[in-house]
Amino acid sequence: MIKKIVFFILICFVLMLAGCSNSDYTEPENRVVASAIGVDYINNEYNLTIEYVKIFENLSEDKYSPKLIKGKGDSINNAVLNVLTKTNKKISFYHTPVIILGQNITPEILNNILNYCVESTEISLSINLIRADNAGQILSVENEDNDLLGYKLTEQIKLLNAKNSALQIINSNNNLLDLPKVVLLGNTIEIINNGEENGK
Amino acid sequence: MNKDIKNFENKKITENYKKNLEYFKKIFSKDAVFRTREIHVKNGLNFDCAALFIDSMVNAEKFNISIIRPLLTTKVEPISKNIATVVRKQILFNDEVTETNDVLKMIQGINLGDTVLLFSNCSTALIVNTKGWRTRGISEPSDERVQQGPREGFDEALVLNAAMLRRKLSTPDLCFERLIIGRKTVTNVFVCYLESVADLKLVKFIKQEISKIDIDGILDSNYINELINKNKFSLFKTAGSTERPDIVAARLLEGKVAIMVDGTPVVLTVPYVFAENFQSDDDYYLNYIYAFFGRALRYLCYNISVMVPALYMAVTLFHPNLLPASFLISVSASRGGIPFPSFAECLILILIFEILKETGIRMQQNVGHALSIVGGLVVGQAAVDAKLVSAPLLIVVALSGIAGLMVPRLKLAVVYSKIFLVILSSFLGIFGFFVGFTILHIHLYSLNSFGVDYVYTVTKFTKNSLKDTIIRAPWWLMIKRPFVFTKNLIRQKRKFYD
Repeated sequence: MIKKIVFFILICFVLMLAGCSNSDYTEPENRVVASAIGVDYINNEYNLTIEYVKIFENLSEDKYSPKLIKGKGDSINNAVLNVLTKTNKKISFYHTPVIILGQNITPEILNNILNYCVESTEISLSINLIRADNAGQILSVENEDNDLLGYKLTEQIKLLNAKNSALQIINSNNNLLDLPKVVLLGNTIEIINNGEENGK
Repeated sequence: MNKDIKNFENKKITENYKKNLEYFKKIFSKDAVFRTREIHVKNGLNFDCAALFIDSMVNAEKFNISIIRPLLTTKVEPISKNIATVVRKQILFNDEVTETNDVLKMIQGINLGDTVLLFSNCSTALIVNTKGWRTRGISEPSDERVQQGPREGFDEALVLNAAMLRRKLSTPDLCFERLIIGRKTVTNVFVCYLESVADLKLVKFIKQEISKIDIDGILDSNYINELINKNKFSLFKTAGSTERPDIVAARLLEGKVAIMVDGTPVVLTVPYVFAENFQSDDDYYLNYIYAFFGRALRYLCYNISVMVPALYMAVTLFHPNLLPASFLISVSASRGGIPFPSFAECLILILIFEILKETGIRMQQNVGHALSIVGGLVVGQAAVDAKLVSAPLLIVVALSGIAGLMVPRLKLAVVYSKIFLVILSSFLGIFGFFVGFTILHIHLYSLNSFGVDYVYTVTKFTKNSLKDTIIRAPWWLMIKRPFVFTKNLIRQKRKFYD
């Protein structure tokens, strides 16, 4: 009897995990990790700027540095596809911590972006959303330490205790104004909370 | 002359002394170490005698003192007309003298180091114990060392092994049943058990199965294991093997049966269950609290060894979302520039580790340092620097290999299971891993060792059976024997709270 129970449990395991079988076989060296996504809406097109981790093979002290890749499309899907065709590596969004919403992002456009996040199997709904005047410009800022801007921004956002995850925004009916904003002051980047901005 | 041992069955010697002697000389005609010593005895009797033996298998001193000297010097009043009987009862100074006319027994006696005495005008001969071949001596088995406890190990001589076991279990309840197998090796095999504890049906079954063996030679107990074991295609051991008399004694006390083979120190014990792979002698000789930790660690290491390389492959190739970003970046960085796919890299590393392990077992001890350097530096650091393998995978495979060494009794099963899971995980990810895991477990649950479920602690779960599996309960709690091996369950009569 116990044999049958164990057999049943094991078969259940296998059946339940059948969903885990995917054809997404990628060698680790052919995969790059996206550390930030910037979205601007210019001339009825989505302009995507993706910051990813460029890994150097010589294993020197600086093993990796940020790199940008850009693409356009009339829908967010097409813009992502456009970006993916520009690199021979698979861009992985599993660990992307932040989306920067740039020029002309209205609640309707935000809705499209959030829909894409919900439908995507890679982007987590706990991803941080922040506003900027121009996402592409923010991501293009060079920093001396060669840090990954996406991870740096995420650390700063944590300190604000803002409710800015994709899930929280969906629950608050896409209220853009609740989001913290990243601004460029000369060559430095600063995050301000929504209240502070209004005060200024 | 056909010298196959079966041809001598039912052959008897005659009264013709010369003819008998010639017959034996003919049998051993191409044996350069066969000796005959002819003497004429005139001590009240008057007869010819020939001693037949094999050089260096007999103890020369014993031969001279217990056979030649009494034959030539002792004067007797014969109590029988049969010279062999008179010599046996009145002349020889020897502990073991057998009178027979069976040629087969005489040939076997000569081959074992006994001396056969042929007499004129006598249709029987004597087999006199003069065994004097050298043995390796008692030493601690190198594969089964203990921190504390008995340090003796079996020798190659069956009778000495039986004596060592008898010293552990000094009871007439201990039975040694002799069987002879092997047409050319004529190997003695003892089926050994405690009559009041063992399952006698199992003993009968084992004796039947061993008797059915018809092979030219038995050189080790594993021959018998492979020939009588029903699980012929299993990765997992379903018969225990040990070189330690204390382990055999402990297993006999649980109701198991031991099979001892002449010429090898390795003794088989059956039935053998999965939990025994994780037991060590130290568990019983050290405090149970230490034993608990050691045994739990062995279970953990078995799982690490079998599963970790496969899980690493599944996660890095198919499910990177399960890894922290920093680790994923590190893995990607380390894989840069490596010419092989991860799957091939993993298999190559497992293979290299197994090569190093096998070399370590078979090489001479003084080459050990060279192997450490080659293994540690060349295969380790240099291979990573040369971008032949990636450092994280090297660590994973090395961890798996070292963890596997914690369970030496499962070494073969661990390697095959590991490779099986790595192949499935590399092509199907976590799903493949669980498919392999399920197949391995179904196989494990289907095994049966001489009538006992291999994982009986799960399939026939009782509170009592847990006491010597994942944990080793203190001796004062182990009141009963495991019920699957015997019907005589009471191990201790005094309860710990008495």
